[in-house]
Amino acid sequence: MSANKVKLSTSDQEEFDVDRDVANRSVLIKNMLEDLGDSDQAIPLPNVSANVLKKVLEWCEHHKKDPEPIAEDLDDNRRKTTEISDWDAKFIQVDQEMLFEIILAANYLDIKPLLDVGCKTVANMIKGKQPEEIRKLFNIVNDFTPEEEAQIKKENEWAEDR
Amino acid sequence: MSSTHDPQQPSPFDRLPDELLVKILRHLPQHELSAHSHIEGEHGSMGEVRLVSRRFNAVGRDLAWRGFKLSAAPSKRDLARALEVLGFLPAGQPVSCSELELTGTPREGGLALARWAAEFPDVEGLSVQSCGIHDLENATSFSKLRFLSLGDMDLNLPPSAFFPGVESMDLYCATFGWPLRPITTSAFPALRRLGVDFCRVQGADSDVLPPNLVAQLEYIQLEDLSRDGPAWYRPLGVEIARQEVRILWTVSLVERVSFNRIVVKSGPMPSAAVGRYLRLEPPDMVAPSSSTALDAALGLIAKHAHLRAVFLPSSMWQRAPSADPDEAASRQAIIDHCASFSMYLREEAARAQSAAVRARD
Repeated sequence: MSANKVKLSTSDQEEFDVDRDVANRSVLIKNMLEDLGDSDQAIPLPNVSANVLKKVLEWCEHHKKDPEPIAEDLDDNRRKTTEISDWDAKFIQVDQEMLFEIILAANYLDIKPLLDVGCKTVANMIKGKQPEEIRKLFNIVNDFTPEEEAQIKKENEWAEDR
Repeated sequence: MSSTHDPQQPSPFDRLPDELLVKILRHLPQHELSAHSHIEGEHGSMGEVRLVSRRFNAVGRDLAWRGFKLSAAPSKRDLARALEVLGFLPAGQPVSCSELELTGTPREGGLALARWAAEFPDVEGLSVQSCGIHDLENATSFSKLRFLSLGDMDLNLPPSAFFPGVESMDLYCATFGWPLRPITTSAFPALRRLGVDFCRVQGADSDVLPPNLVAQLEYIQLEDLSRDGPAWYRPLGVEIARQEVRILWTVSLVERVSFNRIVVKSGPMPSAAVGRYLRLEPPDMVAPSSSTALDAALGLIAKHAHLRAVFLPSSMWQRAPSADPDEAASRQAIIDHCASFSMYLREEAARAQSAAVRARD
């Protein structure tokens, strides 16, 4: 096994040979590699299935040479933005299940920029929608009692008639 | 994205731990409270999303009023009103104002920044505008302050001013009058970023930004290169000489070709000569006029071989491929001049061209 390649093993026992600089986008894998040193052993990723890992690696491959984020750095970055780059936006156009799988995998593998893209995407799906629409979109059950609902509405609207 | 779901199916959110739900909800618009009017409510905002389910409420409740932004006039009346409004929230609600924006001249009562600081100790971002001369010294009372923005006023930082935590400061439409008080490293030991937009200094020979302050900065953002204003005032910030500091230099181009030529010609103000980053804003962001903006861009870039990156709005690349050889040459020249940034520009250009071709077919 070349020193520049890394073997990853998924929850469904599939093995991936990955360039080291691609795999290094995951802080989890990077730390593991540093601890293990050069080894032919596959790194087990028991929380990630093959189809999700494939997608995650696609992102890592495209972002393997990401430079320091100059623009973000220079601009006033305290303002939260939900902007996503064109490539990432296209990448994340997946079905809901895959989207949430990517978020979970990015969190587990510790790939912050990818986790960010996933979370922003879900936030963008929520933004501008009414609670009922959000429930419908994500199959969420409304488990409030009418009293509880009224209480929150009051908190939200407390300033309206001032 | 699939939109039809079996109601029997579990929600994908069921799989996410609370910490990830928090990460998602944090991207939603935060409450903005204005003492002049009510909250700017909007669908899908942090407050509304709490109505989705008990779990969303539990997570959103902690976030809803944490880190809200408050805009007010710097008057006692507005302070009282803001507090009254917040007092209306149920007890136990975590409340913290992280951004405070004070605008306008107080009609009654003076500006008492120290009092605002006492009521809102969590403020990290403070913006003070159009308040005339006032007790900026008291802005020191905000002990968590990291971002400071001062605009539309005469700036006269008192000698005792000390902002140990401020990393980033914006000055716009500010005037440094007599007696000139420089922005010192002892007053701003943590300052790393400085934005200067349309600021003026009275007199010619005093250093508002001393060399050791500039040396401490990681980058400076300069806007406005125009020289208009009273003759005895000079633009601030353009004479920061020969420092290895990351200066982001913004040039707004205008419709008038002759003006752009002047900017290009007189452009190399001393600070521009050391700027590493250039942001160009064409007059019309959507459809920049023909090759004027490109020409101006090219002129500026050609004169500043030290530029490491040039930020151009993609609209400059999104037009149909030009048959005009000059324009094509201009684009190529920009690409060649900014080697480090050329990948980005090429990508943009390629994308624009394919989009144009698609639109044509």
